[in-house]
Amino acid sequence: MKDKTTNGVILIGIIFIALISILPFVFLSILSFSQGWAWPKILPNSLSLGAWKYVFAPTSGTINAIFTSLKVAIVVTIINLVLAIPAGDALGRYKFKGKKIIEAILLMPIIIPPIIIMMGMHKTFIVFNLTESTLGVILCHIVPTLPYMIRAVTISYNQLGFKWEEQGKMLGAGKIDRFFNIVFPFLIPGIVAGSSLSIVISLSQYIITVLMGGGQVVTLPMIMFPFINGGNQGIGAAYSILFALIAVIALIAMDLLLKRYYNDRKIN
Amino acid sequence: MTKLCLEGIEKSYIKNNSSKNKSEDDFRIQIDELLINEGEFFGIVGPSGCGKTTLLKIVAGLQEINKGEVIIDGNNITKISAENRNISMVFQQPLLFPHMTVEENVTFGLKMKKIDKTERKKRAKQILESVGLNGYLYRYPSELSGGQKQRVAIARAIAYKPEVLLMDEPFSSLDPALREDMRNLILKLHSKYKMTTIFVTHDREDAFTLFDRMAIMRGGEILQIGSPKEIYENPLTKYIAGFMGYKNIFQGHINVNEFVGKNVKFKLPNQNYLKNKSIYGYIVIPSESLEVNLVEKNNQNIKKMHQIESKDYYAFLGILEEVNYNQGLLYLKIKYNSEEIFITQKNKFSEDLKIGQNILVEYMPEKIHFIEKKVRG
Repeated sequence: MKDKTTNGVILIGIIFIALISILPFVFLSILSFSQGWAWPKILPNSLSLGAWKYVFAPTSGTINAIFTSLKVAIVVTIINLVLAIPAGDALGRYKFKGKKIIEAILLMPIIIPPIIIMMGMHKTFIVFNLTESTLGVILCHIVPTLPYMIRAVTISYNQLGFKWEEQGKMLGAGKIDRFFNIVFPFLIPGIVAGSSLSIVISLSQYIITVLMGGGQVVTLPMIMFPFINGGNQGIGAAYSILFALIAVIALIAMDLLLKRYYNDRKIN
Repeated sequence: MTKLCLEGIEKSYIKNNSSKNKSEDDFRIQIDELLINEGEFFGIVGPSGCGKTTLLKIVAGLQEINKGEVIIDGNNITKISAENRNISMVFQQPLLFPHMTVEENVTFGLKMKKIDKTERKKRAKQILESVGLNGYLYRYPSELSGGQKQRVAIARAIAYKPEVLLMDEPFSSLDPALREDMRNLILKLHSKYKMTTIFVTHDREDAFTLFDRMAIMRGGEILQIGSPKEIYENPLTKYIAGFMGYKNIFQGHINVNEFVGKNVKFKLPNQNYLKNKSIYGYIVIPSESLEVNLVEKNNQNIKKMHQIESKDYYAFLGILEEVNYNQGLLYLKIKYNSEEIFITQKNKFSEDLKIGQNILVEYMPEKIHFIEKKVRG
């Protein structure tokens, strides 16, 4: 009897959470297909494909923006991986002086608003002629994303310990062989977690991209923002849905890509 | 022929970083010389924390040393990294790579040696056959039982064809029934592949069944080296005697014709070499060299009791404290003048023994081993 009631409570909870997360999308979908939907009407006056037509019109530059966004997110994630794997190794498995301080510094961007760091970086990047370039934007996106990647990889390394690599050494595997054959498969869950966050956070950056890109690097949030911020709300809604879809597709694609090699392999 | 030689090895490290009284936690391994012969099954035995695993890791190259040399076949390999030493090791846990099949696991070492694929497959099959895991080639480690995993781990180490095979308590995670099987398997494999093997354990049974020779370790030092039989019959110290399973160890003086301990006294045949001096130390009485006779009021026993005082009848009187009957053997605990004495013997009694009963224990003085206590100076 008790089980039944608990199950009921859990079911209601799940439905409630599902509703909360689905409702905005329902609302956004209706908004994107509507033409004139003023308060206090429950449904819009008439439906139209106008917003979507605009979004996919060649003049809107949406497709280019999507590619720019994805390019930035993917490159940022790869750079994060290259930086986070050695960092995670050091933080997760070794003891050294000042470890706590280094950990704190590496996680600082989560605590300090990135905009503050960005002001300083902008000044510096002007000197290196990196402003208004994709490279500059990529480097800036690393700031808010790297801490999550490091955190995830650190935990993976911490759980891994040294025993598997010792076993690898005892079978004649050198450093590189050990990393790709033994260590990397164990890191995959952490890498997937870190990369997911890295991609999603990079995709949704607006202020950083505006500041550093100076309007020259057009990512999806760049063209989306003006519509949400008081322009045509129907187009804004369409962009929002598109944005969410792209984020989900990017995450699934990355997950599949990383797991492809170890897809049917069982990692306990 | 000597295969492996450890010379003047010294390694000290602090076990616990956070501890304040460092001198207590400082641990030191010191081995003056250890020679292991080609094809030998060598054991390193000692309680946990005695440094036996560390010693194994020193041989493997997983542990750096402060001083000393590791020599294989006359080549000094002290400075060579672990992966280039051609030594393989089986750890306490199987440590099979979970994302690889059994075959890939077994052939991993061969792949690292750049041996071609068909040869690798052939060897994996052979080796798995010899550990009794036919047809497990394409399983994943998560589909194997604990014993099977450890077998694959052993197969993987052997497939690598190492100069020296190291084993660090490979049975400790298995249940006792399986250990028996694994011991037999390892003996079979050792006689088949004739590999120089160093096996670390704290289990006496492993020691007696497996080893050609062994070293007893304690506190980072080797106390005695010899075959299990030699060490059992001639332990150098009280500690080794205790470790080898002796329970009847008494401290006292040995005189020309008797041993006098704190509470006990044993008659001994004339120790003429003592020439009326007495020496101080321990006597070790194997529990299987003692024999219990019941003290009942029949004539024969009364006769025997009178003999106790006579010169060449070796026996004493005690009170029975505990009896355990196990597979045809009796395990008895006797109280003899407030000291406990343990006896193992065949069950020759038709009736059950009663606790608290008076008992006559005969002993064989030639089986008593004497360890002189040396004054450290």
